[in-house]
Amino acid sequence: MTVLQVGKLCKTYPGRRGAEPVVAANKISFEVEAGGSLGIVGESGSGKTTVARMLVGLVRPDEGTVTIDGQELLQDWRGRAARLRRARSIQMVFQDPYTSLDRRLTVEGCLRDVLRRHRAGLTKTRCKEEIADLLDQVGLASRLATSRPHELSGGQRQRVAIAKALAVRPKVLVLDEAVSALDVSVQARILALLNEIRAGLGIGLVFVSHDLAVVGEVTDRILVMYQGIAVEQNFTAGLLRRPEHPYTQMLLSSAPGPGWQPERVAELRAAFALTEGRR
Amino acid sequence: MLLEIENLVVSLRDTQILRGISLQVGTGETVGLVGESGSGKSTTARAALRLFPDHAQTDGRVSVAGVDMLSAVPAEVRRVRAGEAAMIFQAPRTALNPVRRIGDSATERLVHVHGVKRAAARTKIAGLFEEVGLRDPERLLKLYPHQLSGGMLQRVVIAAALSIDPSLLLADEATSALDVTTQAEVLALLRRLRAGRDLGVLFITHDLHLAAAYCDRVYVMKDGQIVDHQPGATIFEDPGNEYTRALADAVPKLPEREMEVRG
Amino acid sequence: MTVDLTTPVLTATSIRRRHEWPFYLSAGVLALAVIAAVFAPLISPYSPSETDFSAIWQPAGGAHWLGTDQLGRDLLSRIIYGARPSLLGAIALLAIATVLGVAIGITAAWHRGWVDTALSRVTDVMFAFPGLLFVVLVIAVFDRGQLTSVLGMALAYAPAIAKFTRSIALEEITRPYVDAYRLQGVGGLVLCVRYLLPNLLPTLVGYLVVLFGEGLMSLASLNFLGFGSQPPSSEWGLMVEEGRTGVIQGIVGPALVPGLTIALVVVATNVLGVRLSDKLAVRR
Repeated sequence: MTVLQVGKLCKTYPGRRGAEPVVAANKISFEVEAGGSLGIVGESGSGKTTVARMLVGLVRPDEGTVTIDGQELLQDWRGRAARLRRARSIQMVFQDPYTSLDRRLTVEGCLRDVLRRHRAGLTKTRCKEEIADLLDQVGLASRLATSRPHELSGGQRQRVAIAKALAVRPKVLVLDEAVSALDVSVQARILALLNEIRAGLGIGLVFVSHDLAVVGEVTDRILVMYQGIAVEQNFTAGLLRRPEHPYTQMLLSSAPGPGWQPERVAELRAAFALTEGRR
Repeated sequence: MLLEIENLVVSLRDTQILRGISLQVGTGETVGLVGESGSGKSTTARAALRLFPDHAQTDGRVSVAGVDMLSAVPAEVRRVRAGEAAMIFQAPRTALNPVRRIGDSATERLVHVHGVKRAAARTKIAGLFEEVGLRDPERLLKLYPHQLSGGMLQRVVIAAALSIDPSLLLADEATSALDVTTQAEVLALLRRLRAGRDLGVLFITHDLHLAAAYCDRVYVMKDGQIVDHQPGATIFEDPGNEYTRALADAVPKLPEREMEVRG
Repeated sequence: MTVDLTTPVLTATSIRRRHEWPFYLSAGVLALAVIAAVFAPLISPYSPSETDFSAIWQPAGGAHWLGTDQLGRDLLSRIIYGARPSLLGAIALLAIATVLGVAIGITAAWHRGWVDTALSRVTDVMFAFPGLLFVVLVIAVFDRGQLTSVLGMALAYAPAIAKFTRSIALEEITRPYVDAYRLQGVGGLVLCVRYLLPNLLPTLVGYLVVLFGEGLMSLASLNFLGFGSQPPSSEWGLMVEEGRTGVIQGIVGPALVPGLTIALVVVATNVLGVRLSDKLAVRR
């Protein structure tokens, strides 16, 4: 059952002081199933972050549609009702665990704030139960409920951010480089958590990252972006084993591993740039 | 031995940041120092330049090109910092003053520390820019940091570091903030420079796979101690040490490719 | 060999202050001023308007701890009673200027675009205009008195607060938690007042405390010029003006005592403001 449908999203930014306008996204389209997970991969400047921000409504696209559970989100943009509707359909977890939390609030204060806004008529007791539930879902010890962000580790902060996002019961969760700032061992645990969440709650995930290996662990399908264009889209296993587009091939070769030679990668990069220039 | 650290202990108030670190970097080697956050790898690198947190207490020996940094007089320490060892940090944008032109920032060490005349310094830096693969160096000297990409800025920082003709290069997560492809380009550059200039490189990173693929030898750090020391190649084949293996396992791996593009 | 290295180094830790006494001393001075303002009738030895022509221009000591002025009024009592208008004036000034300035600053920072440009240009013009001159103009149009002087001064200070607030708000808004609130469906006004402003407060407070001291000085100057409070008020600036006649004849007490009081209070607020900024900043 398709939970997210994105049709031909476009966004162009005007150039600064006489520079060329920058095409951040050019007719990007994809779909995500309930419980499914799509990775959007690209280097900096590929437009993947712009696409993520357009999905959640932080950036207004020039053209295109975003449909969640049959409801098109971009038509009625303004107004409180539209904002709340969007908030309950799709949420985002950001890259920096520390600055994406309000440093004044405790964990439970933070969650209570969300619950009060989106779940009308919640009694104090029910609220407390919900908070305990959420903490359990994301694997946070209940004793941390009274901690503030600066008292938590990076991994714990990200779990709070995920709990906050889940509190509204969204259909889709967008993760914008959400594990890039974490230690490798912590990263692995958060990825496992995400897999649990999508299986258990049937939420669709959109996982934006520059790290192909990470994306490979947590997605069923991958979309590769280069300078605003979707250059390849395929099932994860297939794309990682048999990349078709030269850019994807180059990206895969760039990741360090046995037999990796930075000189060879640099050659491939130069070759790719040349062919791009000729196009 | 370019850099020799022997039983280095660093404490701050009641906590021990480093608990007896010993490592070596020789000329022509690229030695990796891998660890997660809080392992003490940055503190170790900074120790080579005698850069410790305020009020830290230290014990042990840190020797750079024969100079015992911990017991040397300030003048000796300054000489080492000015001409023997150079450090490259993670975010080039924070290493450069955004309101100064590239040319001014890059020639700063030469002009103010070594007393080289500005014109001569600029010529030398322009030459180094070419060496690190930056085209049109004359034009670059006049630009501001925000006009360059991260990869180009890191090359500028490397050129500035090389301008003092160091023998030891300390790279603290120098490529972590770059794209994978840019990272590869910068690393290829470092390898080339190392060979041409007889440099020794201490390469600090959290990326075990990168260190294993790029460095001749790798030290693995955990909680202020060195827990493993191996040649890079063997880490892939047989990690050996328990922590190293755990670290290697935790990193997501790409599946085997059906078409070999890697060299 | 364990060595405590003193060669200066790169550090991310905060600079630890070894002396706390300036902070406590300043807090004490301000506390005294507040007590004087609140409890004046209870602690003042004499009435501030009680004249005694047999004891004019007395030096400090004896029955009058700080001496008397040209009408034989006890200086200590006048200082104590003067705390109320002096402090109240400055507080009112700060309160009005802050409400205006913060509102404008946050609005400009939040909306950006033409709203920001318009507000910033207006603020810049106001900022460029010399504050004291502006207030004199206001007083020329409306009448002299404490109310007009405070209001006029508040309008003169608001632009500085607006600029400062805009600057820190711009930086704060780049932090993703603000985006996170937007994603939660929180509207602009609610976000700014309920979530953004409290996060700006630590930085603002230090700045505003120092501004309070400046405001006190400015109002005292206005009163000295005769534009603000009028006699028989013993507002400190006014007292300095009244002490002028004595200075020519070599009696400096009546002018020096209120002058030093102003200086002491202003320095205390400056020290307090700076220390507060440090304390609040470190906690982040």
